[in-house]
Amino acid sequence: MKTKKIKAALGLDIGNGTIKFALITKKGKLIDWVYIKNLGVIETIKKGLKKLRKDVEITAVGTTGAGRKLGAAFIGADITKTEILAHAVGALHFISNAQTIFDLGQEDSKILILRNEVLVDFGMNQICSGGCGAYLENVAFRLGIPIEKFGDLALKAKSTATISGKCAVFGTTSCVHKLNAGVAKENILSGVATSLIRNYLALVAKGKDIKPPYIFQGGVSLNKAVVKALEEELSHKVIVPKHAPIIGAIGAAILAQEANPTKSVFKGFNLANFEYATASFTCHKCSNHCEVINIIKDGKKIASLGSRCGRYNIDFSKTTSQDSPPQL
Amino acid sequence: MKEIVTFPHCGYAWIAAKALLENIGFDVLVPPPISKHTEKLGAKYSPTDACYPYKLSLGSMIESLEKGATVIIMVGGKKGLCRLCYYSKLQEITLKKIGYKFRLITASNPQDAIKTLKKANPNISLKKTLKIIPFVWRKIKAVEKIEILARKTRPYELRNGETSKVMEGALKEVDKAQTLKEMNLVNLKINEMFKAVKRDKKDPHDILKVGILGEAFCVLEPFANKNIESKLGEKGVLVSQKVSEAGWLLTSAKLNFHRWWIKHMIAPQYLKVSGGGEDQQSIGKAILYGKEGYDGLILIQPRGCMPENIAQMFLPTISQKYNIPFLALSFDENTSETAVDNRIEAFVEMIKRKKERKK
Repeated sequence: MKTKKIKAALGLDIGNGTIKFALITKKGKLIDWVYIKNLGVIETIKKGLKKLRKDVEITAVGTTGAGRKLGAAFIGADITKTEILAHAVGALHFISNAQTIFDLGQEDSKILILRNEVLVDFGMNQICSGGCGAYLENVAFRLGIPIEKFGDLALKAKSTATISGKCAVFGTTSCVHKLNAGVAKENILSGVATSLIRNYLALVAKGKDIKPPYIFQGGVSLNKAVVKALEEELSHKVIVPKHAPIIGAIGAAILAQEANPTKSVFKGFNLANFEYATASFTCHKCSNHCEVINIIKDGKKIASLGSRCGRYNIDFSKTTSQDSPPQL
Repeated sequence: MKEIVTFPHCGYAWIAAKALLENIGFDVLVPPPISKHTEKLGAKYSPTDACYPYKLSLGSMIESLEKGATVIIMVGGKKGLCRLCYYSKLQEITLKKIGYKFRLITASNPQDAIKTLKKANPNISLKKTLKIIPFVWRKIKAVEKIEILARKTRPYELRNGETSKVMEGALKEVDKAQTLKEMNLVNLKINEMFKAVKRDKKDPHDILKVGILGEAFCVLEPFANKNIESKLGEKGVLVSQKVSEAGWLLTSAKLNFHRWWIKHMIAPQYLKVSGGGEDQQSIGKAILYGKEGYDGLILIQPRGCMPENIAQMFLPTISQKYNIPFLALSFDENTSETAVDNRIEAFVEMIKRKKERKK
């Protein structure tokens, strides 16, 4: 007997460090997910597709994250949205009355303000890593501690050292000074957690109307000591959602489902079984001089992005593409 | 030696400035459009904390001097401006130190500039100048109309970039016109050019409306604000922006009622005295857009701009009172276009979803 395939939406969060995949059913249930290191967008998407369960019928695809446009062109996505929106939608899916989302990633950090399930304000920091995961990684490396053990070790601290320095580099230097002065490692790590939260709040939460329920997500939320430091700074409990690292992908899937395409432009799981190349060129057909990127399979263009007027894009409702790239 | 008159760029002001000066009888040199090259030059010879408009106008002046200009006209010396009123002096000293030979005229308004030019060139007849004012004014209003039509058309364009191309062509037509008669024909042509842009069928009620506030130079000069108006329009947003050359000239003649209204009747509920620049104007515009039910506000400022920093302090309160989200962006030579694009995209998504949820 042929088993009926489950209808699901696929979401991808294509970050600089990691790529996350999520499959959401029509009822909003998460039925599979993948979290892998980004070693090249196309190769990593292929890898992720191979890992996902195949007994699904993909009804819609959404991409988010820094590589969302390339990912969308490659995989065939019905919608692409910024991480801001995807993370907000993802978090609201689990905690519908959330009012503030603190999102701390590896190299950037964000704050999202929600009222009545609507995103009303946001802040982003992409210029200073004193409030991001890179700071923790730096310190862990300099103190010779595996990053996964950071949180648990820091929670053992009997007192919190004061770590000065608003940035990841000088903060780390401060840690080394303390270590050389004989301060216990746990106390230093506890101090770093506090310092990171203070930097983050100063950089991104300035002037924002912060109200509970508080959600904490992003890679840094996996560090229990940082969660504790945030709760202390806010004098309030903070919720770390169960699927915090993949919330962006979940949000992208939900947004794709909302778009409700008549027929998804998803190219199929089979996409993962072929080899691809990318080719870029500058179009001189007008004064915009767009840099166009074509994705090529067996010498044939299967996707294109980067042209402002869209002349090189492949329209999947038609059988032939509008333009072919110049000879390279 | 014949004098070659120039002025630093600021948006599309060059069209009218060129028409005025040429018709008075000068050789005019229009600087090359502001580019990364202009920015680099300006930043090289400016103090690090000088604001973006200072650096870009300095760069523009250098590019003109390199092409042989001998007289520079720069805005300044006027009460009510920000520290921009001192820029021309510092720029003159800087350029002379570099070794350029030129004369700089600081003008707080066109009458000022012409008076100063006349002192050096007695051949300029004031009578002749008065005669060309209707022609120049027609050009200024045509440019304003083109900007407004572009904002109205972009949200509907079928192919991204078409409106901008039409705008480019329309501005060229305005520049080419040499007489009032030609300008009349150009005005008709402009309407046709924009009408010809292929449009998508959209319900006007669904179109997002965003108001632009902020410092005048960065709002007017597309290079300074990373083409934000085009970007917003191409995302389907109807942009409203009230700073224009026409407006500035009316202000000089003390005839800008909209500005007076904001300064005396709207802004004082938050800021009674101006610290210079556009602070009261930005606050006032925010309130008016909020009252009109706009979907969002974008505040554009050069990094470190004091008047706009002041205005920004009131935005959270105004934003909450009128339930209108705002995005504050600051620009300088180190601004990452990707970061700006990301914020604009997220902001538009956010206000779009908010509007959809409201329904």
